Amino acid sequence: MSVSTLQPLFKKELYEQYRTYRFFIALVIFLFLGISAPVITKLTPDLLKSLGGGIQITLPPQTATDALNSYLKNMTQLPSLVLILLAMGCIADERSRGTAVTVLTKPVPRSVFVVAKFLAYELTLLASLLLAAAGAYYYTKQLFEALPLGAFLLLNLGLFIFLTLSLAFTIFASALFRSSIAAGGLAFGGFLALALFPTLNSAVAQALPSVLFRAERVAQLLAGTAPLGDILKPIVIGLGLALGLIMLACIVFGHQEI
Amino acid sequence: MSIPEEVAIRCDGLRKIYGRLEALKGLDLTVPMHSIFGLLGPNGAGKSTTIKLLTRQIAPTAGRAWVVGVPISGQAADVRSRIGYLSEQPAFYPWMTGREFLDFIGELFGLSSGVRRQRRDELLQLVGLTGAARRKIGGYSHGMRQRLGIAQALINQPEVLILDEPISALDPIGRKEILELLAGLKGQSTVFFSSHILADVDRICDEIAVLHRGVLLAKAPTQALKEQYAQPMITIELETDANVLVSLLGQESYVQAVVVKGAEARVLVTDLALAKRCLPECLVNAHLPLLRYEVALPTLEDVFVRLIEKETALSGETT
Repeated sequence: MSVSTLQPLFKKELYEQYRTYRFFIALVIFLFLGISAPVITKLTPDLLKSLGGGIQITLPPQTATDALNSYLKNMTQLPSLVLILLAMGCIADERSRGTAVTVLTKPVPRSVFVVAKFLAYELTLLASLLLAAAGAYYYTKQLFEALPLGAFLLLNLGLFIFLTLSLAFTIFASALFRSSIAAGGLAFGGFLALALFPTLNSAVAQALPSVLFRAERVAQLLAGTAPLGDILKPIVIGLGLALGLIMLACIVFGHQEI
Repeated sequence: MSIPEEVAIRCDGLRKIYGRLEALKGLDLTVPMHSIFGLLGPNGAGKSTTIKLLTRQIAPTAGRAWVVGVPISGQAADVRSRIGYLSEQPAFYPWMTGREFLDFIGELFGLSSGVRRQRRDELLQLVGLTGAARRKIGGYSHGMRQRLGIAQALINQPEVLILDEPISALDPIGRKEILELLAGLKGQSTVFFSSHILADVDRICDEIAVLHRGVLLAKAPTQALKEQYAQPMITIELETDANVLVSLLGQESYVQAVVVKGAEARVLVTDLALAKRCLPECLVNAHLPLLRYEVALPTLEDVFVRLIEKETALSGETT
């Protein structure tokens, strides 16, 4: 892989995300989801009381753990869809508009073209997730109590891998089709599969990063009683799957006619 | 297999099949180094397919090709670092400015920042885009995009410049400027371009090849092709109906056909020298009121039309 072309392509991808506001869209949505989790958790009893219309609703007092579970639920749903919408055309659109021809008739390996896009979106994902995590942590501390930092960081690492997997699948789909709509459709299918497979098979469930966000595993992590192997396994497998999908995207794109 | 240094492009039996369509049927072609070479043909002739194969956008179904001695299908030595390319409909990133785009392309070729800056400014001036260099490409006109496309194709000072219909979309002034620019590259780079604007190809090309339905019909220096294929012709315009010329000249040994349109007749001749000597005498003896007598110079258009007609007739005979 030629590092000399990776750097300008990576830089171009970042500029593109910046100039087309994709970077800011991701930051704002992630931050909103991060902050809204503890705030809505805090307000839920009052909201239910005001909507109850005289019906007596008794809720257990909301805790920092509830806010954390709400945050994890938020971050495993909408952000994947945001990533699909942002990245589904990253290769497909370049092929359909002809800019891929302009770039790939220069001495640019096709794998570098794909990897540069993946790395740029990874950076956007990382920045957005860090912002969301910082917002969630700060508001949880202000409204409830501080979460154990180690467990919170570990869960965010799990989220990063989980979302990386969605991103890698989207980029693979984008390399497969010339239409961004088709790529988005396949990526959405992949997202649904990632959500559904763990409910069908417990072995699959234990292997995917989403297992980390189950309430019982979160409780174990917060208590510091979660077995290290059970945490590392889905992280390593998720990372491996994401890298495998990117390699597959490089191979598929390498054999296509632009 | 080693390719001689004086050969810029060589194709040996290059074939490309798309599904049931054979777009290129075993192309054998040699383009000399430092020449300006025109690839002619009607729509669907296989011009763009040839160019896409040479620039590695698509893979050949069969056959081999070399550009500057480098095989197009090889991985070890990438031919793309030694060529410049402009597609038929060049596409750019609309959010970039012209300067940024050329800088980005320069980076892809591994040019240092100093060289990039220098080449970028030189090329922007060369294609007349210095004033628009800081504007976003999204706001460029079609002609400006075409000029930017030519600038990006030249940024690495390519040994071979491959251009797919580079002038078709330009206005007459733009065409003239770009043709002058391409002609100015003679001796520095090999220019290989496809076009269907025959007059433009005629103006600057040393050598041309004519493709039709994926088959190479002819390849030779432009002048040689004209001499070989263009039918000598004399145009005669009378004050009266020119039909009289059909009977007057039809039996002459040097006349192949007389095509009449109102007062004008086009006399296709087999021996131009003999016709030049005998035809004026015939007209004078017949006391015809002559308005115009003109020996038409053969054009590339004549060559092209004759070649295509010949091939169509041949393929009609065989089917």
